[in-house]
Amino acid sequence: MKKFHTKLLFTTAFIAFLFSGCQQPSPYDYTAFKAHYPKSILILPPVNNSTEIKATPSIYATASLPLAESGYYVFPAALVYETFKENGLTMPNDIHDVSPAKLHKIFNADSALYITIDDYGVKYKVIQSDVVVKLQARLVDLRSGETIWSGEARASSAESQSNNNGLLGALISAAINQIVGQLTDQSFRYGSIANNRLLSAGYNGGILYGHRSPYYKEVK
Amino acid sequence: MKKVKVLLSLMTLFVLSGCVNEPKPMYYWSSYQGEMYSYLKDGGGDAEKSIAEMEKLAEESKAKNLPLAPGFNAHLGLLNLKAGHDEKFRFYLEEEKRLFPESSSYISFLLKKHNK
Repeated sequence: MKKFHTKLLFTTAFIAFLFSGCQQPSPYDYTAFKAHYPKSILILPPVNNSTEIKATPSIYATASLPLAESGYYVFPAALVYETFKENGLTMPNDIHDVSPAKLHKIFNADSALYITIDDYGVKYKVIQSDVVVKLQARLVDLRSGETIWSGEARASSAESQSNNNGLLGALISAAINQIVGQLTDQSFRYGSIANNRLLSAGYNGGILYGHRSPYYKEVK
Repeated sequence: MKKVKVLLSLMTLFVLSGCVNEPKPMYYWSSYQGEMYSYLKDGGGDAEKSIAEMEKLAEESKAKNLPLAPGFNAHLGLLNLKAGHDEKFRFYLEEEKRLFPESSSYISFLLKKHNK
């Protein structure tokens, strides 16, 4: 009698376990990424669709870290910004319209990252105000003009737990402590977290590790 | 016997605390992102002040045995150009090129442009 119940229990549990596996998200298709594996990334000034003017410099300033730490060479934001300015381009929307061929000619980057800020800043509400940042990005191979990766991420002070994963969380905290103290700019902090989530390698749907990373896998 | 037990517990604690170390980052970032933010927002104000800050970071990175991030030297070069130190501008750009050959074409373009 006892033996029968145990067997039934185990069988049920096993079947439930099998079906739980069916809910996994489908693996991201990295075919295009691997076909045009970039060594360098030209991050362009982010297009800003939020109401906060500081969103572009803020997101631009914190996008380099996760990409560099994932093993890519990233072009220096301030110099890239000056180069566009000297060519009469200051609006990110106009910069995003420059052809991949032209970008490749000027910078000789393998790829360019187009970030769009969908939301950035404080949402003032009656009971509780929240800081919200929503980003989307696509990575374009500059030689072929093909989009090889796209993604989106968000961060908000309304989240129940601080989702700063290990290393990058620690890096960000250290960097932020230097800045927030001076600027008391909470949006900057959440922008940094959103960038961390958007542009780090190591999860399904994220970018792949770059050639400088110890986790880089050679494609044959 | 009690002493040994206490010692053993302490040693275990010591070893285990080492096991929660985070993986080492590839680069030393510190306030470099803040410097970029400052420059991108409004030109960064006092270039000499930023130069001093970044030179301090460069020293700290040596103490931490971590390389400087991609773009760090180039940014320091740009600040020196703003402050009128052309030789240092060239020096730091060459450093960027040396450390990151992926940047060489762009760096050469910038150096050529400023070679009057």
